Amino acid sequence: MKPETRFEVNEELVAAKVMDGEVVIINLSTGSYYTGNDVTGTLWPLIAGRCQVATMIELLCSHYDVPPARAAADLERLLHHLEAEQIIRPAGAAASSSPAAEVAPERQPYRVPEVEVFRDMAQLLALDPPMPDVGDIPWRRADERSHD
Amino acid sequence: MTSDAPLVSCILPVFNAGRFLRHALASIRDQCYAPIEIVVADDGSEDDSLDIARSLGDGVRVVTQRGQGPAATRNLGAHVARGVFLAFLDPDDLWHREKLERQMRCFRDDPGLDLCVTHVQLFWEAAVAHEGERLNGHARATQPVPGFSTTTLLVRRSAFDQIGPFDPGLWFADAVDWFMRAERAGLHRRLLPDVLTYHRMHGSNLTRRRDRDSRDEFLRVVKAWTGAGRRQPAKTPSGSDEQPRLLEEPPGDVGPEGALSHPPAARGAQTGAQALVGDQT
Repeated sequence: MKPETRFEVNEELVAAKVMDGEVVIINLSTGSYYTGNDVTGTLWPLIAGRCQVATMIELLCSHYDVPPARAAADLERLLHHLEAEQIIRPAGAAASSSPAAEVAPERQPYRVPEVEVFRDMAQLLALDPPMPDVGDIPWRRADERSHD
Repeated sequence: MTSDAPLVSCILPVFNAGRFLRHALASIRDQCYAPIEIVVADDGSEDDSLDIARSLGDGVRVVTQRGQGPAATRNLGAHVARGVFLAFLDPDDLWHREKLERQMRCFRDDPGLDLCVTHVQLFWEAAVAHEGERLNGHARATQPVPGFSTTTLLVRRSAFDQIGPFDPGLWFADAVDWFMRAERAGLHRRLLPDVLTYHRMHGSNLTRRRDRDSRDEFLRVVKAWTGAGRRQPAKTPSGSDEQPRLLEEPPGDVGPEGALSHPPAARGAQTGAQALVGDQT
């Protein structure tokens, strides 16, 4: 994978958020969901921000006790996995404000960045999670009531 | 239906649903199953929803509150319901006339059953038919989908009380949260392959903010689920491996515009469903 490669989140199909340091992802089309460990949670804003692979490797090496070669190999495996699950796709250009890789004050113990895949709730999540741009409940919140 | 058949409470949580409410009420009143009671739980509607509900007289019980949200309104309806079984129908959705009958048959055949859900077919109003066309590649948008949603749910009152009410703090993911709690509690559930519920896609309140809010809410619910020792393999629900089946005579002629718009794949599926009619009883 080239150092200048960038990805972007497949926003039409994916809901994702970093919570308590870990990333949670739902593929709205399939109902599959994913949880990433803390290292993946650290990487996620850079992935979503269309940062270059080189920037992500730099972040891993500055935050964690890991040599660049291993960081690159693990990162490539993670990105391929996310791409195969249609969570991300190749991006042509940087986002308007790509986050920079911040230098951590102290290196943390390294864990391989990865996501666990859960398909057991696919049926349960088949109907209700929102499809892109389609909302369908009639309710308005209290702060919206005066706007109609 | 024998006179000792259990009462099913059909609960409609309503907020400014006058445009659809008559059709939802009609699809309940048209049910083959009896006895039923209809409970309209209103959350402070400012349109003619209450007038419509009350115009049906004693056939509809109406309870009201103000500004508590959809989950709390469902809970209000459940709180006053008298039935041994509870069913919920969002006012913009429709039931097939055999929905309750087919679900109650499952409970008669399996006394240990706690809850039953059906498959759902989405349909688009003409005004937003372009959304259906745009999402034509999404299986969820065009093919029957498993309906783990309040609007398909028929649940024993005792099982509902065991799990507890819908989380009133959730506006979008309250059903998923409830079904996850039911899963964790080990409730015995069945997913019918029959498409007995029709989920209307319409143009109201289509905003980016709701899209973002609802996604965040689902992510929080899933996060809580993964963090609560859920790692045991989930049970496969009974009937989950059965192919979805569309029935004859969906209530597709009762839309407010007189006709409902189905995306192309759904139209094709309906045509194919006719061959399944003999397999339904």
